[in-house]
Formats: sequence, C-alpha cells, structure tokens
Amino acid sequence: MNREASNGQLLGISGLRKNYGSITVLHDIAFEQASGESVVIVGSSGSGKSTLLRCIAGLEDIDDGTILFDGKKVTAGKDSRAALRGEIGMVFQSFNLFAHLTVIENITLAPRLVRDTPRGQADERARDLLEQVGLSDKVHSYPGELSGGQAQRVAIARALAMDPKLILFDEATSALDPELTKEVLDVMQGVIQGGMTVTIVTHEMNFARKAADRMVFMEHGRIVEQGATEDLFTNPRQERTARFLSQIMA
Amino acid sequence: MPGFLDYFFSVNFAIGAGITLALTLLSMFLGIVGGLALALIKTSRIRALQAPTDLYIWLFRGTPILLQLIFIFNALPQMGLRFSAFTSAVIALSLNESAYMAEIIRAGIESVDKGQRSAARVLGLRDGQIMRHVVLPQAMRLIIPPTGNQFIGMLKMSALASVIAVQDLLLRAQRIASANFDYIDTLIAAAAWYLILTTIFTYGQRVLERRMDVTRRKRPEMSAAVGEAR
Repeated sequence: MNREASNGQLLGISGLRKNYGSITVLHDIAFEQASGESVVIVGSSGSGKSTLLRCIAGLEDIDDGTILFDGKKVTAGKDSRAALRGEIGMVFQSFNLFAHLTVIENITLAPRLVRDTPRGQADERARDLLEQVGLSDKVHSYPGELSGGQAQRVAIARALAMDPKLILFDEATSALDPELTKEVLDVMQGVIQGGMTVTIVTHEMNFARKAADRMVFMEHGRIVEQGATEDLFTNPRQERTARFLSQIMA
Repeated sequence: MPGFLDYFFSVNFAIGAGITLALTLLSMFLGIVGGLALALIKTSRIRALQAPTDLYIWLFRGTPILLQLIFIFNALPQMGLRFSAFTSAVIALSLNESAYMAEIIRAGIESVDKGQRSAARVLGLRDGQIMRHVVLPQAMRLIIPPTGNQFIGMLKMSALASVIAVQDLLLRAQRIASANFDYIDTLIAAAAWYLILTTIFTYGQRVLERRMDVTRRKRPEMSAAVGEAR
C-alpha cells in the first residue's frame, strides 16, 4: 500500500466476455492495473473471479474483448504463450507443484527450459527464493512430503523464479487449514512489499484490506464495483457490495 | 535319446530363445513408439487425425493377430510388398501392439491432473516441453504396470510367428520334437525358456515401478502438518 502506482498501465482488459457452452460466465469486463499495484478481486463463489484470472493467464479462450498485457495481446493460443514467456505468474488453489520433481527442480524447471538459465545460476536463485519463503530445509523434498502451506510457499517461489511482471493468486489459501493460512499470507504480503504487481482472488478479507491498493467486487460474472480498498470497505457505493462485505465480515 | 536338460542347454534352443527375445524386444519397442504417437494424437487437439487414429485402433484391436501376421506375410506379397518372415512378424506384432499401447499411454496421460499442465503453461513451457517434462514422467506410474504385462504378453504372442516359419523357440522345439518324436522333453524345455524370460521381465517391471514411486509418496498426515505449524 501507499506505493507509487503510476509507472504505467501493465494490464488492460476491455469488453471481455467468456462463455462456457451457452452460459456466459464473464460479461463485458473492463479492468486496468498499473505496474506495482496490488489488486484484490472478491465476490461469492461462481462470480467469475477465478475464470477472470485464468483468462489473464492465457489458460482460457475468450469469446469477446481484449486482454492487453505489457502491450501484448493475451490469448490461450500457443503464439500468445510464447510471446509472454512466463511473464505472468500464477499461484493456484491446489498448488499444482510438479509431483515428480523435487522442490528445487520445481522452481528451476521453467527458468532452465524457457529462459535457458544455466543450471548453477537457476539453482542459486532457487535457493535464495526458498530462503525468502522460509523453506531452505526442503530443497530436495518432493511435493508429497510437504504440508499444504509449505507446498504453496514453494509454488510462490516457483512463480517468482521467472521474474514475472505480474503474479495472479487464485484462492491461494482456500485449500489450507486455518493454521497454515497465515504462513502463506505472510509470504504473499512479502511479495507485495517487494514491489511485485499482484492480482489476488481471495476470501481473506482482513488480508485484502491490509495488502491491496485496490479492490474489485464481482457478482454473476460482472464487475459490480471497483475502487481503493479502504473506500470500498468503508463507503461502498453499490448496495450489493455493501451486502457482500457485511456478510463475509460477519 | 536326449533328455529335457540336453534340449534346454542346446545351442538350437538358445538361438530360438534369442530370436524370440529379439522379436519381443523389437516389436515392443516399435509398439511403444507407435502407441506413444497414437496416444499423443488422441490427447491432442488435432481434429483431422482423430478419425484415422480411431480407425487404426479399431482395426488392429478388432482382428486376430494371427490373421494380421498371415496377411502381412502372405497377402502383401500379392500386392508386391515382400518381407522376410522375421520382418513380417515384427511388423505385425508392432502394428498390433501400437493399438494396445496407444490406449495404455492415453489413459496414463489423461490420469495426470489438469492443474499440472496449467501450471506448466503459465510458466511458459511449450506444449512439447509440457508433455516431455511434466505430463509423461507422471503418466509413467500408470503406464509401466500394464506395459510390463504387455511385454510378457508379447513374449508369448511372438510364438505365433512360428506359423510363418520364423525360427523362434517354439518352432525349433516343435521341429526337434517331431524329428525325435519326443514332445514332452522338448516342449518342457521350451516352456522353461519362456518362463525364464517372463520372470526376468516381471522382475524388471518391479524394479521400474519402484523407481517411479516418488509421486506416490503421500502428504504427511494432517496431525503431523498441524504439529509442524505450531
């Protein structure tokens, strides 16, 4: 919070529509994010938050509109992914660590394959990142040997290893026991304080209030309201936003 | 009159076993390569190749291998394509095996959680890299056990090649049997060779399965995880 957020637009979405079969799950989404900004997207289940993140990550085809990231068009096509080369990182609810690789191999795989980083350099960076997320002792563990909180911290380190310009957090703590949530939120807070641009989908409202510059409220596949986090919390303009916030904070 | 041990240790039987083994390994190798190609097509989004692949699998799984073998050895020469008995056997066995391996490998690929692919995609890996470095290594856990069974099945199925006069273990055993009129000792000697080979395959399969075990390691129990957080 309170950081310089005016060093240019990084992400620009306009007129985005996404269908699953005959059902439209995202309607006319317009959304912008500046470099260095932290944005949190809230809304009840099924409101389209995660789908929006997956569209930004290039994991979903979109049916209308455009997603511009750093001047490049994001689609789910091969060319788009090649152009992005891992510049958008993503942390998933289900961690999605590569189950057959050790922690350090999970972190170094993409830098080595996508960026041609030499092994020694990739390893060194991975160890630094593991220290940063407090898991120096798990370098050679397999994902199956980690707790959920540890696995998610490794997933964050894996995303950071690509030096992305934006990291998307898709309900990063929703699969975790309450005891393990805090360690992941602390790491996420650290990432934000380090200046990373992040878009976070979460149900952790206290974290959202503390960590996000801006908040977006979604319902039924539409953005209902967006603005400075504190404004939305204290002075929502839409009645639906107020209702959602009072329900979830109760 | 030579006995079971004489047959078993004879050069003739050893060469027969060698030919059986060569037939099996070659056909399995080509069958796995072909099956992998078919499985990659089946799990890809290349629409144009789906129907031909289905047709191939339908054809080779739906007709007897013995018919395929005889067709390649006897019918193809009538169309101007002539292969030696051994080559014909390798072609028939590997074409047939490809159809089965395709289904085994496809099932293995589809067993890998979709999230693994999503994560790899976002990290910027290309489709080929995702398949090679993320999906296939994890699919192996499901692919290896049935492939081991296929190996053993192939070893036994290769005996069918004796009908097109491939000089394999069974054909040699049968020839000596009728020459000496000693079916008991010769066939038992051949059976012993088959058993030795299948036993080696079974052992190899177990070693491989154990080496692939890493992904099966379970997450620590909940109590352990909670204890750690305190």
